[in-house]
Amino acid sequence: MKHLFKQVIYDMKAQPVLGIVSIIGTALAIMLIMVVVMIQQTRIAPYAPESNRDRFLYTNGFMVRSEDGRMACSSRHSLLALQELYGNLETPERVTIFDSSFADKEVSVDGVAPFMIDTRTTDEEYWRVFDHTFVDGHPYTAADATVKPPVVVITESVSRRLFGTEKSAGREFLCHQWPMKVCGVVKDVSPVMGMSYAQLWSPINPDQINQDRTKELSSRYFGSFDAVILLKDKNDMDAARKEIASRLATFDAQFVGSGNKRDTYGVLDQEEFSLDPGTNQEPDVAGTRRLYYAVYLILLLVPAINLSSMTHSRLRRRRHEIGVRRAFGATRNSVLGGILAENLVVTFVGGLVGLILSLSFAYLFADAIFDAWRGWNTPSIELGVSGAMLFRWPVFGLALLASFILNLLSAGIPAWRASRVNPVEAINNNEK
Amino acid sequence: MNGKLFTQMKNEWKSNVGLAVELFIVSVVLWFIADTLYGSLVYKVEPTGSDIEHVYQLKVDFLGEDHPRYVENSSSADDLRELLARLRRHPGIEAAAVAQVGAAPYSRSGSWSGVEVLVAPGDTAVFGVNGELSIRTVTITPEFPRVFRMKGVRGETPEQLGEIIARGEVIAGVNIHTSVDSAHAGGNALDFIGKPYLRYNYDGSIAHLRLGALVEDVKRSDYEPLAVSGYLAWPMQESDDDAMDGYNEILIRVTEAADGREFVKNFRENMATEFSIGNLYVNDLVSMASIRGSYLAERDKIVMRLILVVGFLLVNVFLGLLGTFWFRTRRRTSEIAVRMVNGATRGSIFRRLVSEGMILLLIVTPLAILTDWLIRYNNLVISNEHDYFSYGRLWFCIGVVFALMALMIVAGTCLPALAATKVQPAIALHDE
Repeated sequence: MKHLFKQVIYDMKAQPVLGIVSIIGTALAIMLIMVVVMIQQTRIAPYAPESNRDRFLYTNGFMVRSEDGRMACSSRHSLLALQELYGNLETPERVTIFDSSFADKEVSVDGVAPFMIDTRTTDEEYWRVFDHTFVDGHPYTAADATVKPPVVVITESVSRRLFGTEKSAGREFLCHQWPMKVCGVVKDVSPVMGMSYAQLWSPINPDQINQDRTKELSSRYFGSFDAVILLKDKNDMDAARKEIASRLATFDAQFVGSGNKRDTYGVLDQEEFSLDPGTNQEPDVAGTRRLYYAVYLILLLVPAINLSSMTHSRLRRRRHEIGVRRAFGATRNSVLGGILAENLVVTFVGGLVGLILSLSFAYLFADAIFDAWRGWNTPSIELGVSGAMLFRWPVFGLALLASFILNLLSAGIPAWRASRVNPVEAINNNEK
Repeated sequence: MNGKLFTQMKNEWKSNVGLAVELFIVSVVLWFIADTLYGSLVYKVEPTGSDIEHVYQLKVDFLGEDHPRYVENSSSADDLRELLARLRRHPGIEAAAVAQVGAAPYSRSGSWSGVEVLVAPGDTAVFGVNGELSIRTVTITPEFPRVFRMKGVRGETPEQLGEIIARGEVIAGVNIHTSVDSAHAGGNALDFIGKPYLRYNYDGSIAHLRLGALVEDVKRSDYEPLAVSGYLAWPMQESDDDAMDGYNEILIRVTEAADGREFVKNFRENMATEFSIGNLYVNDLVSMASIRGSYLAERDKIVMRLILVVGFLLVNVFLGLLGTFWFRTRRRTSEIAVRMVNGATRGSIFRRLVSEGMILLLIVTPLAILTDWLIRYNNLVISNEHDYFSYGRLWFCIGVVFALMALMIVAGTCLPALAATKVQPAIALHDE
């Protein structure tokens, strides 16, 4: 092992330009691949408060189409639609219902200038499906929905701005001139988190469902709500989808003879949901995966060709040495293994530099790289992508794997050729 | 000399093939990205059909029944008319209009529908092929064209367009005829002016309205192509009872002289008193410029990521050439020295080395062009940025890519070539 590192260091010293160029090339490739992986990760990997992403099913939009195809209307759901479609399901552990988009509202207290924040209404299950961290107080319950003044949960930073402290449970403030009371304070959530993000949460008014019932069939199921279904086990996806499909069949029956029909894509898992299909589209998971694979391939292939030609050049300088080693009894395989191992060290160094570069790049330029979930309505708030969201062991593992593949691609052929060197010719320095 | 150069390149064919493959891949990928960016750029420079400068969107809300200031028996239609009147009296406000959410550009909401036009008795042309929902339809009040300074294709002023809406006639985007069914395709759009339009309402009824004017197409956003937008504006009057339901918003234009921070500050300070009528109140005002900014942010991020990939690939080309040529010139020190002894100037040595890289690029380029064209021909493209193929566009993108690659090749071979010209023949040929 020690011999291996000595060899690498000697080689670097002998040809500094080639060595540095190799390391920079590897580092850049790994960095870009890692940035692409990180963008993907923030969309699908589990992070608090969405730690159960692998057990989530999301509702897609709701669409009603006239049978002659002339009119179609698509939107999110009303409370009634969610109740009829997803209420009291047996397979899942829990279902939460909440406003799918935010409302910008102005908050203030005496002595603090009013400011705008993103607000969202939710049911009480919301706090059990998502794992927000409470720094003070507690979540609201269904019984709180009719309490006066209304109780709300706010984030740490809103609490600090309003009251100068994170411990503000029990205190009152104005939201659009309405008095409101804080029942809990949670850690800030990054807007990258689609469904768990907001700056203020308040309970849904349960009376809305009765209002929905008074509307006509063509409009009673449209609203602004969505649901997230938390499964008991991630293997329950199919069972849950089956149960929902049988619900839909009953649900659809009421449209028979009305000239309209329901037309929606059912529920989405995390990966499908991350593609953010419109209310009337199906997500193309396979197509998106292919696109990502193509991007990874190009990002690996181009530097691999580069590094391969540099490894080839480096090895040409060492023909003589390889010839001597072969003459003293080194097998072809041990020469091949030795060269690959040396190159692996260089690649790992490059990979490590690349990983550090990608983490610092992603942290410094988070706002430019990561997407806030459906950016609309969000006042200019920082994305707040935390270090914990960026550095994850699987990402590190992927960086290592990518370096390894890069190494094999770039050193494989030159090393194989070098190991085939005829010792006699090599020692005589007859280049072929 | 050129003959010799080719022989020499042939002798180095192994590392040259590697470089050529790299140049080829990079060239094709760069072309693909250039084509995508070209598409974005083309759409971005197309006129948007609406002038959003000095335009604000008002967020309007109603007090709920349980609010302490709730007014029983107030009419939202009357409140709206009073609000519009007060807005028009407010210093600096030039025009105020009500429109369906999504009528203003940069909105995620929108409605699309199939419409028909009665070309002659018994002969209808269908807009939106087979009644598919493809025409963007919006509902606007007469001052809307003034707020967004829309222009008629026959020279109608915003005020004249307003009169047309006030008469209860329809306004359509000039490109609407491109989506007419095949029997009427190719007709002059102006021929449709004065013809009655049929709209199928969601409740199954049919509305008959005359087409009053054609306007320059109004795009939803900068990056959206003109032709797919299709635009049809239906009239709505301020006196209509449902003019201020939950699906409409208010838009105002401020005079250039009055607009600015002061205006916004003043408006916000006074809105709670001046613009709170009955249960209707103005929540906030947002400039269209900031709405545009957040709408385009997502797209701009994609463009930025593409530019990042371009940078990465170019750096790779640079590093690849730098590494390969560094090694090459080192090995050829004595050859270069012999050339110098035989009268070659430093300039000619430099040019010779640089032209080796350029020749590789020239050899690869026809192959790359063929591949680019094949990708185009087989329509292996992913997004609507690639619509509207033209040979001009193909050559333009190829030209840009060639220039960028040539630049990198010169940069990458420059350093090794410069080092080579510093060779002292006497020292280099000492051994001979």
